Order: sequence, then C-alpha cells, then structure tokens
Amino acid sequence: MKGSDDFLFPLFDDLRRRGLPLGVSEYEAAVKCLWAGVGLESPAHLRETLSMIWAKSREDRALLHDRFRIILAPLLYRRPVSERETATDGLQEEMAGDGQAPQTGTFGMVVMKPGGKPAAPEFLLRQGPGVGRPDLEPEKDRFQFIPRFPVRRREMTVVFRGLRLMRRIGAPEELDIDATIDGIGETGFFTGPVLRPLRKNTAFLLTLTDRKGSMDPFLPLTENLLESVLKGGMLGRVRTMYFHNIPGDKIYENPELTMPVSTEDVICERAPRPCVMIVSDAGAAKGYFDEKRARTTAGFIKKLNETGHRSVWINPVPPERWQGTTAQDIEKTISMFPLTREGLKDAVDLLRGRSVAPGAYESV
Amino acid sequence: MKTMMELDRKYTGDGELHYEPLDDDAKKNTPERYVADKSVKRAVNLALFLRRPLLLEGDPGCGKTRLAYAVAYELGFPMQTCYVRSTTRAEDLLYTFDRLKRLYDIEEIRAGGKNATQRQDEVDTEPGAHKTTSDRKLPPMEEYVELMPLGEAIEKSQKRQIPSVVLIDEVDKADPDFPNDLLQTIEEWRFKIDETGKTIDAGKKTGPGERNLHLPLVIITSNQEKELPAPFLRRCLYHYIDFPDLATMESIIKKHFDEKLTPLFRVAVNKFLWLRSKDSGIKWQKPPSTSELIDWIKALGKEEEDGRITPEKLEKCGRRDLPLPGILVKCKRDRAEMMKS
Repeated sequence: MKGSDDFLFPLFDDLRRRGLPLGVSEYEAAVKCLWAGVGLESPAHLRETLSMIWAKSREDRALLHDRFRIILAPLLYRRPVSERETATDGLQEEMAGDGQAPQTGTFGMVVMKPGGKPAAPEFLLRQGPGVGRPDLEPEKDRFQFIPRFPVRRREMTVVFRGLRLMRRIGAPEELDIDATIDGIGETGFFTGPVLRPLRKNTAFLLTLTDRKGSMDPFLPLTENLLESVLKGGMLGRVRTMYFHNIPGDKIYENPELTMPVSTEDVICERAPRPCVMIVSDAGAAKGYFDEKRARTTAGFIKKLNETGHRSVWINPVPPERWQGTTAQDIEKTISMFPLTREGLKDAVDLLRGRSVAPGAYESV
Repeated sequence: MKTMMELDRKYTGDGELHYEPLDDDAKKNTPERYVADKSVKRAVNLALFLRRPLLLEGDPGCGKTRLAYAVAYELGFPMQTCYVRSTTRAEDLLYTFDRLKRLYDIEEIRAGGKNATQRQDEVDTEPGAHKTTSDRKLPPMEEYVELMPLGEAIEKSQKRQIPSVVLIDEVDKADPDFPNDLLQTIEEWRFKIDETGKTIDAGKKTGPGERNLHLPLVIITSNQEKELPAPFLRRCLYHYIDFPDLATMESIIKKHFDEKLTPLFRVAVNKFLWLRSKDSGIKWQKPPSTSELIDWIKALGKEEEDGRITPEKLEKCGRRDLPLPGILVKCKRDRAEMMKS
C-alpha cells in the first residue's frame, strides 16, 4: 500500500485559496520534511510541522488546524501492530530533535532501505473503511469561529500602503551626498557634510465610521478595515472617529459614542491636510429612501467639500443594493466605493489625487 | 574546516552547552539559562533543518530575543545581533561605507600636498594605491568598508564554512518595505559591496540530498505592531510563543535561580499564574510577563532573606496586599484594577 507525498496537496491548495501566503517552495519544504522523517511521529506532530511552514499568524494556525482536521486527518491512520514491527527496522533518527524514541502506538513512519538511503515515505492512506482513528488529541475549541472576510486584512494593508505623501520633514539626519559634493564644487573646499531630513509619509487619514443600529451586522468588517489601516503602519497619521447614522455637530472619539468632539474642529484641521474616509452604509442597509437622512448627510458633505479635503465614502453594503435607498442619493454628492479590494483600491487612488473612472464593481 | 557532521547540530532547549564552539566568537557566548518548551524546540530544529528564517511572535517579555542567544550558546554557533530602528534599511545590516571619512581623507591629502591647487579629478578613485604629490597615500576603498552583523555572518559562512545565529530583533519597528528588501539576501545568501565591487556569496548549489549546513540560522522577532509583507512571511517559518504553562514556568524559574526552587518561589509562581488568570478578577491591559515574574521572585527572595516575608504570609495575600506590586503592574489602569474591591 504505497502512498505518495502528494497527499499533502489538497490541504495545501485549500489553504492557499483561503488566503495563506503560500507558494510552491513552501509545498516543497513540507515534502522535504516528510522525506526526512520530520513531523511523522503523530498526526499532531505533522500538523505542528505544517503549521510552522505554512501558517504565518495565530489566525492562520487556527485555520490550518481546522482544515487539517477536515481534509488530512481522515486520510491518516495507525498502522496495525504487526506491520509496524517489521517496518521499524532501520528507522531514521528523529530530525525533530525530541530525543525520544518513537513509541509503540505512534503513527506513520519513514521506511529506510538497507544502506541508509531514505525511500519515499510510505504513508498508509486509507483505502476503504478505516482501520483505526488518528490519535489527534480532542480539539479544545470544538467550534471554529474563524472570520473569513471578503477582503483579507493583508490585502487591505497593501491597498492602504498606496496612500503615500512622502516629504522631507523634521530634523536633518541623513547625509545628502549630492548637496555635499555640490558644496565642494562651489567653494573648492570640503567644509563638512550637508544633511537633510528623512523622507516620511505625511499622509493623514481621518476615518469617520458609522456605528450601531444598521451598521451593527458589519461590525467585524469595519473593525477589520480600521485595524488594517492602523497596522499597515505606513500612514503618517491616522485618526479614527465615530458617529451614528449621520455626522452631526458632534462626532465621537470612541466606538461607544460617549466622548464627543465638535465636528467642525475635526474636519477643519489643516496642517497636515487630512484625507477623509467615511465608512457607512448610507442608509442602504435599511433598504428604503429616507429623505431626512439624505438631506442631513448632503449638508454634512457640503461642509466637508468646502474644506477642500479629498474624501471618499466606503459602503459595506454591496453596490447592487444601493439603488432605491438613501445611498443612491448620497452617491451623487460624494464618491462611494464598496468594501472590496477593487473598491478600496479606487478609493485610495482618489485620495491620492488620481482620477478614478466610475466603474461597475463586481458583486462580492 | 568543519565537516558536515560536525555542523549538523540539534537544539535541545535545556540551557546547557552540548557542542564544541565553532570559533573564538562562539566561545565568547555567555551561558543562557533558557528553558524552551517542546514546540519552540521543534520550531528551532525545523528552521535548522530547512535553513529558513524563523519568525517569532509573542507577548512582550516572553523571551523571543533571549531564545536566539540561547540557541547560539547551546549549539556553539557565533552570535550576530542586528538591532532594527525605524530608519533601518536592508543594506545597513550588511555593511557600511564611511563616505565622510573618505571625503575627509581626500581633503587632508589634498591640503597636505606640495601642489596645493591640485584638482580633484587627479585623485584616482579606483581601489588600490593612489598617486598624489604628498607623502601620504589615500587608502583603498576596502578600508572604508565595515561589515555589519548579517554581512559578517554571510562572510563567515562563505570563507570558513561556519554557520552563525543571526538575530534580527523587532523587525516590525522598521519601515514596512524593509523585510522585503531583506528577502533577497536571506534567500540567496549573497550581496555585493557597490563601492568596491566585491561580492560575498555563501550560497552553494546543492543537490536534493545535500544540506546547506554552513549557512546562518536567522531568527527574526516581531511585536506584531505592523503587518509584515506576504513574500517575506512566505519565506519564514513561523512560531508564536505562548505563555508558558505551570510546569514550564517552574523549570524556567528553576533554571534561572540555579535549581533553588524554594517554597517561597513556588508560592510566588502560583500567585503569579492566579493573578494572570480570570479567577483574580483583574482585566489586564498589560498582563505581567515571564521576565517580570523573574524580577519579582528575585526581589521576593531578598525580602525573605531580610525576614520581611515568608511563604505562608505570601500565600495569604490577596490581590490588594501583594508585596512589591510595582514590579508586576506597569500601568495605572491595571493598578486601579488590582486595588478595586
């Protein structure tokens, strides 16, 4: 019953499609480990080894464990005792460095040909009803609530990196070679190095997020978005403010909407000039047109436009549901984009000052 | 020149030196009393086997940085540390070229030359000796090149076939483009010094069965302040250092205090774990970490010596009358939480 090393492939492919950063060399690395006997002491060891090579965060790890349990674990089973005894002759030494000899009752092993050269690993893949069950310890979390967003956080940070306004500001720290050489050329003497300030991203993003009420179902999405902005780390300054339904005279510094600040003060900041991103369903979640809301929002947008800041509106509700609602009206006064990768990309392009052709967005 | 067998070393995570140090720098490694749990051990050995960089994340104070030193000590590899700042670029880890010194030297020679109006373009800028009318000669370009930790490690691997442990600490402090710039170097193990034209190349084309045991082991730590770029993450092996359980905690303390796990220390460890757990009723903003526990125990040991505390007294303490809380609690909000009724 010869297995082959591409029994790993279904799991690998599945994880790759779910957004884990994986390439061919990562697959090869996993296969290389199997050939050398690393990770073969038990299904848990195999899972841990794959985790180290393929998962790059705790969320990835949780996802890998879940998919391993569903895709790979059912394929593995313990060899019957008699076969095990003959196969363990010349077992290759543990590469994992546990220092423990494989115990009876361990799962799977590498078979060595006489002469010391490793043969292809012989995994016993289930061919018919299973003989036993893989000895994975019971999962601590029986229910895996792993959020899978339409836009992954990594994708979003890449998009927000595009929001760059590089300027040389601050104390002169860096050696300016050209200016130093020019200085020598002009005077004929080298009087000392010329320094210049480092380039910094001065982009300032002001986010205004709608909270509570109709925005509650979108909470994980919007939190994910804000976190990706904060953790992207590229922006010079980020300020996150909150409101409910419409930004009124006051907006709030915290999501619980208990720390009010005058809206005028916030949006009239000039140095540096903010790029404004409003995150709200604009009434689209309610599904109907609310005239009062449309009017008040239009009033706010008018004030915002008067400041001259570049602004965009990000709507977590898919675009096909904007028609016939307040959102359709608001879309006429400010550029509105869906919370998808293309939508965010276009929004950031607009914030950078590039013109964006109005386009139809694919449904999520 | 070491043979491959001598270089094939495994990490056991018990804080003891098991192998002969590979060179004089390795002999200078200070002993690290670091106890690693099984999964950390496996991660390190996997990284050694695949010779891929190991990315470590975890709460502050859990020992990510110290692990690198412990690995270097136990394996007898020389240690190279790269501290990363927000302005660090990938080339800065490889080498520096002292442009200013060279400019100053050129000026000095010009000023000291017999022909004071000598033009700049008469000064030869090729590596090697220079002709000037002064007695002093301008040193060659190589004199101004200094290898930085990663560059030194690659040179050692190339020239002497000795692997080092290279620690790149807090990689998320740097510019987000920094990890990607670093990527090519740690994949190919080759870099060029532009000013002299010299290439240092430790990479070897090996067949499928052979291993690059002479290459450095790179350990990278991150505090998760920023998202790292995907191509970089792909290349690295990843391990999250979880907070140790009671058994590991006890062995860490034992190792740290030379096996003297006194009754007071035992009580302290249990109190510490209780504080961190939900049972104490404290919602931590910055939960105390292993390094803070070690400091606390040290201080408690001194208190015990001076007769101010006993294990029984400590056992009876609740969260409000804990001795020396300032060592464990570092922010106002947590302090208030501890003191609330």
